Amino acid sequence: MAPPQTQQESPTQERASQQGLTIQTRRLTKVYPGGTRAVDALDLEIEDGEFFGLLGPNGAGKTTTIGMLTTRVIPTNGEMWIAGINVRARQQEVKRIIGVVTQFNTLDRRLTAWENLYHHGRYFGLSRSDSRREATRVLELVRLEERGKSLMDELSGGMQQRLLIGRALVHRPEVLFLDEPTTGIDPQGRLALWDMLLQLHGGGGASLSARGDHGPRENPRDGIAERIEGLDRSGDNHHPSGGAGHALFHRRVRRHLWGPLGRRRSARPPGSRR
Amino acid sequence: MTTEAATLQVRPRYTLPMAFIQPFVAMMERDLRVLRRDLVPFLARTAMQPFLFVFVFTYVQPKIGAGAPGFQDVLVPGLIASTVIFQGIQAVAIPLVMEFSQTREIEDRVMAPLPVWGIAAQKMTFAFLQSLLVVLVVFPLVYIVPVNTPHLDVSPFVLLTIIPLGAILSASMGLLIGTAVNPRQITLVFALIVMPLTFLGAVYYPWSQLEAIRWLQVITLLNPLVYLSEGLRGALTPQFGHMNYVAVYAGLIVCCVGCTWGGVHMFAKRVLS
Repeated sequence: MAPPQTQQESPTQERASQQGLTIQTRRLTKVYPGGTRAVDALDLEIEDGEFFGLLGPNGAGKTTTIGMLTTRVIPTNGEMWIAGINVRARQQEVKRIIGVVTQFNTLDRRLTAWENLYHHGRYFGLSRSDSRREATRVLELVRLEERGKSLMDELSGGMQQRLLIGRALVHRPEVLFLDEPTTGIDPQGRLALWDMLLQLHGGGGASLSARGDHGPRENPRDGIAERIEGLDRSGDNHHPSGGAGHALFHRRVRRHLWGPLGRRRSARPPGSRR
Repeated sequence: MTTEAATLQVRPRYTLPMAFIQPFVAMMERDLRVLRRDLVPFLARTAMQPFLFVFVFTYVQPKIGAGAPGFQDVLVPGLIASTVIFQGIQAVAIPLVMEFSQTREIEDRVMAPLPVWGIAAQKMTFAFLQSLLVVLVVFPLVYIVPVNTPHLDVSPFVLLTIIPLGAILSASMGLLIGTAVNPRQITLVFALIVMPLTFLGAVYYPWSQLEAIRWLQVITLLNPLVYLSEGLRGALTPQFGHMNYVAVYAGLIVCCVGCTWGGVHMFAKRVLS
């Protein structure tokens, strides 16, 4: 199958691929009212096709970073680009090319599973027939084709999470943001979920994922969602694929994001969102 | 799977004005689907309170020889006005409070390629249309149910301008209350906002007759519902006297602008951090 991709690629996409960077931030900083410095001068460079994990305990600034990149958190300072588009200056354009799996279940409770996908596609400018087709396609992709007519309270937690991820894919984003995508799912479900994400990722584009859990290593392959040594408090340091894996963080990222960890952790009540 | 995944990068293309209109329309479609599905509960919720009110006070009471004569005429504009305003609180404010807190569903809309104020505008537009629908539901009720048919003297121009203004007021108040209140305060919304608003909103008496209680007449000028009730009173039952039209229109417009500004402002504040 040869979709007419070349015709649909916009100049911004070409520019981004020239640079080879899907996500770039420069001295990105967020200070919340009250003085909490959630992210401090973060320099992040994520290349096309990368599956990039942000790891750290609660309060490390993962959700804030994703929030800024996805236009929901206004940065105090710094600049960021997604696919070469300045996020602060051209928010709506950025929103169109990203998919976001939010930390919390933000599925539309008044709609069925299929309708959640269909209307999401419509929000992102798909025609009715395209959106219908995509909704059905994604429903199969997340293995919920039998549950299309179910309302949210009729789906299990894992099903809802798969649907949440599926929803972020309906408009075929170039960059996918996953904010703790496996929270609240049993270990088996986690593996299945990461398998699904990897399969999807096979198609290119970049993903940025935040994980706050320190449970058993979820993904055995390719060092994806690797934990950084030294923060693994669970003591589970073995790498299923044998090697040491490769750290997904730039050294710079590590310093800025994790630097004042202790202070930040204590500055915020447990379970707080940021 | 590879071809499936490879096509994930296709980017839907559209130009700028459509980029705004398209998600706006799509969100209207979503709301319409939900409304269609919930039509029966919606109608029941809308009609029950005004129905019981006219039934008890203009059907039961006259039949048993109690109640004030002519009350059915007072209630026509009053109940339409209060139901329209209540609609904004019921259909916009309360769901919004939930979407902001428990479900955080609002984030789904915020991630759509529409500016935050556009999302607020969409919520208001749908609430506006719903309020117009409410008028169509309530009017026949308050006209048909009473034993003695109300005497109406309709001023079409006033009616056709006041009703849309009332619908805007309802939508903007809904947005403001929905963004300003947190879920723990939701029961207080009824006690501290809905109750005083309706009971002191010139719904059950003409505002002009409050001259006997001057202080109350002045204080209730702070109640946006007073302007709507009085405007409708002028448009439907002018025989009781009504507030000067200049004051009615000025009051409504000021309340609409104020609530819309406050609502959109608060909405952006709640959505972005």
